[in-house]
Amino acid sequence: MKNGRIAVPSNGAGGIDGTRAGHFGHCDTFTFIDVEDGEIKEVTTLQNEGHAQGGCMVPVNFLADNNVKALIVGGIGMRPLMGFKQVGIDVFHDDQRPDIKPVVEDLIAGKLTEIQNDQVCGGGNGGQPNLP
Amino acid sequence: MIHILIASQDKDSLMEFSAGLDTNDVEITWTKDCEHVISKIENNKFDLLIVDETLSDTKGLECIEKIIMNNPFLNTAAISSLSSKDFHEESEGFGVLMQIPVNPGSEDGEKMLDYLNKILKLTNRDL
Repeated sequence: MKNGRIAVPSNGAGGIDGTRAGHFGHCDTFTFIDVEDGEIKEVTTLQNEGHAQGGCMVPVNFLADNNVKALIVGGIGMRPLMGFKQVGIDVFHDDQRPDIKPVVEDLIAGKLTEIQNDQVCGGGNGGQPNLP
Repeated sequence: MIHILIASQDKDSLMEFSAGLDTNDVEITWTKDCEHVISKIENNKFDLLIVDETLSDTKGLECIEKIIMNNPFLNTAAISSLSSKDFHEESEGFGVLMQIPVNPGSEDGEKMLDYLNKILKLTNRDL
């Protein structure tokens, strides 16, 4: 990813040296990383608006309104994933590393893969990809 | 105006429930199976889809799973006899607003409408 804004669901205050939240909808903060020509230009944070049962589209609209182009998750449900696709936000997946910085660097370097429909949480499938 | 689509083979069993939903600001449309749900939402805008536990062509939750693939912004609720834990397991990731009990009463309809209004306000939709 050469240009655009990356969002990472984060614990606590967030920031590039912070840690990732396991489920995007329940995170404390979103860390935004603005990338230009393959370099990190600016890092900002924004408090999550909260999560209500069935309110999956709240963070979808929230991130779209903040010009996010890519999201990195450890886990996500089918409905919000489809929502992100509809608003043009690419969703990338890493369920192994809790730190923000290495997954952001990998996304910029083109080493992260987009989440597939069979990697989503729940739905009777038994699996819930998430962070360790 | 809030537009609600209800899919059920047994409309009579949901009369009390739908009475709880039915205010001056709500319009309810009925259908019987998932195939017709798909055609209805292709041609009309709904704020909420409520599916019965079993439809003539599929289970209610399977219908919701199918619907959200192309219509993630449509809110859904499901009538289900599953325990709360099992319902959560079966519907996780679908973003279902509410599990509605089998043979729901008007109070369940009122509760559903209150929660829908809360979600619509969170998603900044003008009411």
